[in-house]
Amino acid sequence: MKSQRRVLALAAAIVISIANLAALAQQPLDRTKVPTPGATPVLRVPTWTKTQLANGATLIVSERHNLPLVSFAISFVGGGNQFEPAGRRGVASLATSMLSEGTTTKTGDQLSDAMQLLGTGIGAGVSGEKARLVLYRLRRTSTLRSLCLQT
Amino acid sequence: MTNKRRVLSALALVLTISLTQPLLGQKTSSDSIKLPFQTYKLPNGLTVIFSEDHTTPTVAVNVWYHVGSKNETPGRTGFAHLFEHVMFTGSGHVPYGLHDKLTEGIGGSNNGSTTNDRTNYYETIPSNYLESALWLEADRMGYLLDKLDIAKLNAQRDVVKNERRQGVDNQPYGRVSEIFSAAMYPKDHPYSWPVIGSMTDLSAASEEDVKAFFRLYYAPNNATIAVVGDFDPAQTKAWIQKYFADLPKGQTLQRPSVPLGKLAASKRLVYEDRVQVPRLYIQWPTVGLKHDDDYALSVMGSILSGSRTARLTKALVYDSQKASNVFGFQNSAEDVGVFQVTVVPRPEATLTDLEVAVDQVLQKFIAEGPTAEELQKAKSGLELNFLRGLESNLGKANQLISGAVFHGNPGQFSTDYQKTLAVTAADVKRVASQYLTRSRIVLSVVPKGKKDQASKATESEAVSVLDGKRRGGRS
Repeated sequence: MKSQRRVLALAAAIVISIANLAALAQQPLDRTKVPTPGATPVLRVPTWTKTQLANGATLIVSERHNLPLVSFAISFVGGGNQFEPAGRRGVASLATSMLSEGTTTKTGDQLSDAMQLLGTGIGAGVSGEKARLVLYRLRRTSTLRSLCLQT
Repeated sequence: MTNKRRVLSALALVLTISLTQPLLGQKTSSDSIKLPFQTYKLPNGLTVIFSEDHTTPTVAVNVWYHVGSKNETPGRTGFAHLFEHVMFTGSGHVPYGLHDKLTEGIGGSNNGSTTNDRTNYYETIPSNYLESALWLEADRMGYLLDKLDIAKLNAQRDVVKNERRQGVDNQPYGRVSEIFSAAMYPKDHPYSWPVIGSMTDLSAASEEDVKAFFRLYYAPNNATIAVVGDFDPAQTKAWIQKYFADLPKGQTLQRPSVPLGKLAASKRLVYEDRVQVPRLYIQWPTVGLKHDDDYALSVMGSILSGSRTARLTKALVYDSQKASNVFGFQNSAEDVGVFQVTVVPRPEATLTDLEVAVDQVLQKFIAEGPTAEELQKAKSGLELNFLRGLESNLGKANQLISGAVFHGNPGQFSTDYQKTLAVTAADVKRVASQYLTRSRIVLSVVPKGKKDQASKATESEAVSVLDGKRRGGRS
């Protein structure tokens, strides 16, 4: 069934090509003619779910399965540099830089090793309104939870 | 990422590669890369690759010409990159400015890039503008020279010269790459001159020189086009037939074999630049991207630097704190490659100290090889980078074409992926001892008038530069 459909599609393609060749033979292509665009395509926005966690954080999940990758971003609203107190400019970026320096249970080296073993890339940035932590990682079924715990 | 040539049967090959390489003993059977593609060739030699992805209504068109700076001749360098500019100035049936209007003007983007090995031109556009993108690419492939005159050439020549001033001559440490190229390869070796060319050569290029270069290398038989994203393959095939099929096939190209870099003896160079902080660079000749050792050399780069616990980074940046940063990486081109280490010192550290420190780390590494954990961390990082490169239509197009151009197989990415994951600790130990013990080039870049800051200053030979051409220091 499937292969039949493929053969038909292929046949259609060949027919189009032949028709096209025939047209070419009849009159040379006018290359000065700018091709007209097709109909405006429909924008397919990915779907997502939104959940409120018990600790107050909002969780948004959107699935895409074409690559074995998971990325997630955490936005800390209020962590941006406009919330820095007077006389403490730069403290927001300093805080994000310290995220890789270790936690109460792991040194910076241990954290780095664990992240690397999981195939994780991490980026942190500060903007006017929020601080943002972005992680990309290989999709390994049983390790997502451990990564979340470390984060 | 890399490897050997595999012949591909032409029409409608649809592949889904499942990757089941286990990591840390975890279940990974559900992990897979979905990058189906089909490929065919027009009678004029143009290779076509399609890969559908209808996630968003956008499409990438990417054309690679298998020509780079290595196809130039000494005295006429910089041509491949010069075309990267000329190609956006209109062609036979496309007035200047329309290319941008039909790409950037509708919310898309366009650009090009040139390396030693290939030049690419690409656009990402809303999918309903695919036909006009193909029309634009066909017109500059077939009719660029119809509208290329000396005035246009001179304008772009000046743009490129200014790019050289900004990116090389007036850029701190900006000449390092061309100093290495000239020192690593014999005179007239195709990788011995910089991609951007020299000021003298750019000035000397005549209209006919430039046109002859285009006729030889920008023909359909030296080009590969990929269409990736939201499109209808049958319709697109008809458009490609319509716009590309009657472009004449060019001359059959000779591709002479290019010898690998090989140093009879180590070299120690010092270059005075307008910089405030000296830097230490070391290069070893290795292999190009078609050689299997490229996989283990790339893994070695990730073990030596890139994370805070990587060997060189931990020793130099965190433990001894002699360096503010250190990089080690395999840089592979089509025919040649080098392994490079770059060290940015802290103010109190000398380059001589740093060279000793680097060598201590490397000697230990050569003797013991990587641990299982180091190997796994490095491979996971490479795997992540590889997969992230496949997130965009353009990234997928580059991956597929790179396989087609360098290996004759758009599906080369799966071989590269699997061979990278298959690298063993013994492989890494072997390449470390095979390549990092070879004769090498040590280059110190120091502030003007501070040659004494070079590593082993009294043994270092000065690099003097005149108009983009290095004088002296060449064996």
